[in-house]
Amino acid sequence: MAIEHLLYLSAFLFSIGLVIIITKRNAIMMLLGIELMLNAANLNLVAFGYDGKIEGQVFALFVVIVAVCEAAVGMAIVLRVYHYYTTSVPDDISNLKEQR
Amino acid sequence: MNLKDIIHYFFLLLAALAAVGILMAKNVLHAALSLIICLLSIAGIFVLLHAELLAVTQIMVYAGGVVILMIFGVMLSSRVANKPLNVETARKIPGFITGAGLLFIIVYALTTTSFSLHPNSSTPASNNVREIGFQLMSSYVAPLEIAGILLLISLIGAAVTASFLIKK
Repeated sequence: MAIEHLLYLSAFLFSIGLVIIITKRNAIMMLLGIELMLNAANLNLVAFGYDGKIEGQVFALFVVIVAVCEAAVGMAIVLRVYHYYTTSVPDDISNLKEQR
Repeated sequence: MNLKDIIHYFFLLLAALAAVGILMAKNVLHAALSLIICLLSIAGIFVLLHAELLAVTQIMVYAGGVVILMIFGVMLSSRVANKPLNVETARKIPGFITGAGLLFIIVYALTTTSFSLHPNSSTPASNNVREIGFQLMSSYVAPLEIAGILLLISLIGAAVTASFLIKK
């Protein structure tokens, strides 16, 4: 098993995540794409720490923690926006404040 | 090619196919389930890379926490709007050009670089978890505490942000 193949997979997952974020018109799908990109970065960190070094794994652990925080707050905001605008299409939401 | 390599490439292929599945999914629920498959196969790759602690964290946190959170979010939001969960796509051509361009740049950089890593010189698997525990409590204790505070803050923030739904 070669490290390069893991790096290719990581690049592929990162690109797919970027395409999901750009093309899908739904806030929850965008959160899924962000999770995919974070995991691709994690895969890189672990792959480079394969030869006995654990710094990459420790860093990946902190990436997971921050990703969880981001997902929780992101879902709360998406639910709130959905409740107020009754849409989860980010392109349709252009008002920050209630119009009078 | 031994059994370990076969399992390794199986997980590699499964992760890539699941990622394509997320991209192709019309339904948010199907996309979340594809994400579970992708994250579990990445956890399998982590086990084969002797990152057992990270693999277990991945399964517990992502597959057990984040994706369930998202499925709950999907169900709650569909109940509010009373609309089907189908997702429209937009900006297809710019999106695919951007993604293909990024992939091309990274793959070009990877093919022109030689990595002097030696996969067979890895430490025994049993040492890794113990070593990470020692490192987290000695060298990385400040980031660990800050991460704990960040988790607490984001937990309270998410609860307060979502609890306005109940009050109304």
